Amino acid sequence: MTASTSDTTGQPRAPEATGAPKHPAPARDQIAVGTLWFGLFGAAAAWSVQTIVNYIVASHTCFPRIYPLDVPTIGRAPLWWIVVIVSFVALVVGALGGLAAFRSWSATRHETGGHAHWALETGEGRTRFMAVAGLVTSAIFIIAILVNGASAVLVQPCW
Amino acid sequence: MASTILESPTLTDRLQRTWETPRGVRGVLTTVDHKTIGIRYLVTAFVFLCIGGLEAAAMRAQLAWAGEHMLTAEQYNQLFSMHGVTMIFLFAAPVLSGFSNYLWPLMLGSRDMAFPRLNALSYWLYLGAGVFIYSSLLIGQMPNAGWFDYVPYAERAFDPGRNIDFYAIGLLLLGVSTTVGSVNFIVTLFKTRAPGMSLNRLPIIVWGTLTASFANLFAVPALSAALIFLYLDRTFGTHFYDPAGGGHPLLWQHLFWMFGHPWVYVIVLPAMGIVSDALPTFCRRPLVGYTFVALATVATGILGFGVWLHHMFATGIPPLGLSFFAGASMVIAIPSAIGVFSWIATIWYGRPVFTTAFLFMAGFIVLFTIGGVSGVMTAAAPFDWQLTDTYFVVAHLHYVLVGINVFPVIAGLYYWFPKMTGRMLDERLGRWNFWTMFVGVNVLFLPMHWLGMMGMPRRIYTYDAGLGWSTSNLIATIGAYLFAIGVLLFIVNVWRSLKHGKVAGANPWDAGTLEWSVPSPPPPYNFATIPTVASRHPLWERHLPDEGSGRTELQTNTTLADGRETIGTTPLDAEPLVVMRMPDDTPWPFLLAISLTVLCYGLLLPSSALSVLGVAGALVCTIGWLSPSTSPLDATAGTPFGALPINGTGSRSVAWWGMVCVIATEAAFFAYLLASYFYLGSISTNPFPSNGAPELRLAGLNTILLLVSSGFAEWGRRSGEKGRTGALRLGFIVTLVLGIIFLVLQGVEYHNKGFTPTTDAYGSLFFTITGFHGAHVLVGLIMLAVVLLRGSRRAARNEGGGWLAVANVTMYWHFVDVVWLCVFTSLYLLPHAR
Repeated sequence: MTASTSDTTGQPRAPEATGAPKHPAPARDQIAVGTLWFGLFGAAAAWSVQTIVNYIVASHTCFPRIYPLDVPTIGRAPLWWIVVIVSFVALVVGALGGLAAFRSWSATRHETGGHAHWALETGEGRTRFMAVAGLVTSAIFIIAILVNGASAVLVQPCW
Repeated sequence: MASTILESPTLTDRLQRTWETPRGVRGVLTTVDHKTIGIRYLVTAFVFLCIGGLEAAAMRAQLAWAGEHMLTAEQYNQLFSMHGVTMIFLFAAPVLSGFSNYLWPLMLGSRDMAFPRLNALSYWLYLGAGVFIYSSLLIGQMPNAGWFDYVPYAERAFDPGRNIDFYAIGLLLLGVSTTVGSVNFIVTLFKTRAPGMSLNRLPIIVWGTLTASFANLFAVPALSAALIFLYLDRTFGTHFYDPAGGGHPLLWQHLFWMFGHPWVYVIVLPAMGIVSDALPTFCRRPLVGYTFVALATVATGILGFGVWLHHMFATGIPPLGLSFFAGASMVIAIPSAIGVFSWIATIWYGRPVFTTAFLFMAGFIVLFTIGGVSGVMTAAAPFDWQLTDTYFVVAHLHYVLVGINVFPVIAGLYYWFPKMTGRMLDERLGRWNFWTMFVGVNVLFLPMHWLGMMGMPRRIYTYDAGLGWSTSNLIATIGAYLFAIGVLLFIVNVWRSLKHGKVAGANPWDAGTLEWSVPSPPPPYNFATIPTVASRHPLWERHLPDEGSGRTELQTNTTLADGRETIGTTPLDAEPLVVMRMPDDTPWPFLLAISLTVLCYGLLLPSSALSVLGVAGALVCTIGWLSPSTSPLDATAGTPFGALPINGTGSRSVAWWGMVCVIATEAAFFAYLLASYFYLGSISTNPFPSNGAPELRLAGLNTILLLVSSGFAEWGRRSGEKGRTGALRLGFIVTLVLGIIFLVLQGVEYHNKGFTPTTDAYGSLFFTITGFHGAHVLVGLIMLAVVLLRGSRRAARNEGGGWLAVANVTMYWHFVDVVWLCVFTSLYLLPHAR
């Protein structure tokens, strides 16, 4: 194995680390832990609630007891609005999660030096690791929220 | 901090004496060494793999030609059911527990897991569950309704033997094993890492097992609820799954797959972690995109909870409801693809060394991609409708499970076998091993895609000639036997290498993580001195000078040699927090597992005598287990990080974290019970509740009693913390009395009810939910009584264990009260609001 001063994409790496072990999160006081956790799991929580609420409403109104219906018990439009509103709220919460992750990232991106790409590559700097991780999870779950909400437009509610 | 080399022979001799397990039967039954337990898990899981493989071989022999009748339909039913149960429950997850048990403390720089005795219990319960389920073979009544055991087939009316009882009770026991194991992994991760091993420096297998453990905490209770309902239906005639009584078969499917799909990720995420950690060693470079892969692992685990309905696409659920889960099932491909691209990039940018382990990992990437793509196909509901319950699905799931579980497991064994045994596996035999398994698995499962497309259904024991299925089936059977030869070659390799393999040395692969810094096999104490970590690759820092912050110190003056000790750290940054006194070897986990297995046979027969014997044994073992710690409350130990408390109290202690995890999984259990109540209430055609809204007087009084009792418990705890032990006693005595009155009133209410658990599904749910809550109150009362007798006395003497128990039992009591508020609102108040 050979050492190099740039990573696989040619981005500059962190300066060489020497000496006794230092604290793994020098920037830990620059952002509240709650903000970090919300950035990590806010979008995921929003998606979970969206999926459960939308599923319960969509399935129960189209299949209330033992026979499936052609039209939801509450009507097509009200069901559509419920799914859209729940999805919109989930999207807003998910976006707030992403925003929290971005704020955390902005505040801690230089935690242990090196280019931003370096944090993705090695994860070095615990605070910015959690921040960038929040960006990754928020992006994945915002996509999931959008796909979930798109069903209201693309799929008929009942059989 | 200063680095003083203190790994002197005196120190290592002392540590050896302290941590060594005695030889002989006593040592076998009492050891709590994570390495021994890990290897036991691996060996036991492999025995089950071989048994499950033999079952598969028999089925493939039957299906090789049209019209074969070597096996009867009933024998075939039992074989395919046990093949699934064995591979999914008794091999795929436990084998990964084996890796994690063995590796975690070594990778994290600790001397053992957070709860060594729970670790031993987890293994013995797993073995007990496996033996229990397979003892059904002795009476020729193995489970026979498939590994997912759909009702109504599995109900007593259609399956009157003991087959399904073995399944239901055995898996409940296995669920206990899985849960205690998961609690142990979670607390170990958050509390027992070496200083400096911050969250961003964890090996990916740790991320995988951590995600799987969290998934288990919230998913296993769904299976437990489903199994309890099934057992009650079959044994006592309740109506959870009986439509005539207001129940519904789909309740089983919902609960089973709420567990089942997260479980799929439980058995693949740690295996993917094996690849993410071992592949970089053979590519001579760090994993590309570590942060992406770590978080993709967590995201996959979370998304895994939102896809359960794709197993139920063909059950008639309306299209919009299905589409949410179809979408999530496709989105889950994103984090999976992150992993695949990361591994490919690691190979691409690295300098691959084509060892057998590398070949198995490369094979895994190929198989995972094939299985993943067919998974995305079946995520589309219309496609699934065409192919559900055909061999296409069999092909998909086997590509996924063999590809993502078995191949990484074998790769992991080639990689870590030298660490475990001190010997290398033979590379030449290894190549034969890989190619026979890789060719075999493709010859076996690829034709099953075509068979599915041609309409061959799953689970048929024979088929007629002329359907066009014969050639593909014959090819699949040839592949199955080729694959079996590959597994046999692996076993031969292990057998030979144990005696004749090349001596490995501490770090034969020039790997970068901490486990390779200790001798092979590691000493009982793992690390003579607890390392201080500065990067994700402590052993590669010379090659990666710009990674980490400072340089890892492997030899420090953190000796901790006054008994079995390791260091406890903070959850995020692994800052030293406490010195943990670890338990000695003990027979209680083994004896407790025996007692619970006896209880299982008591429930199976059912036999009151055996059940009572099992419960009594379990109680005796628990009391023996919980003998209190002898360290005083204010005891500290000198360390290079200053004087640290021994064990600590509150959130500093592992016991507090363990209690939080137990409460989380218990809360999930009650959530599934209440979800079942609302589900059946929403679709039942019977009156629900059967006798109209329940009467509120007694339940309301009980609610007040519990709330007041929580207040007294809290007052007692706080008083105790301030040294007022008299108030502590008083608070707990009042709590005890109020709790007993609660149970008495609950009994009065049961007596006055105009229905029973067997009246209808509402009755079944009402008594099950309130009964389980009552059982939790009873457990809380026993804990309170024990703490009152032991803990408050110890608190009076200013000793640590008592305080810890006071805090934990109070937390548990609050939890029981919160559950009651949910039960009271759902079962009593809401029916009045309709």
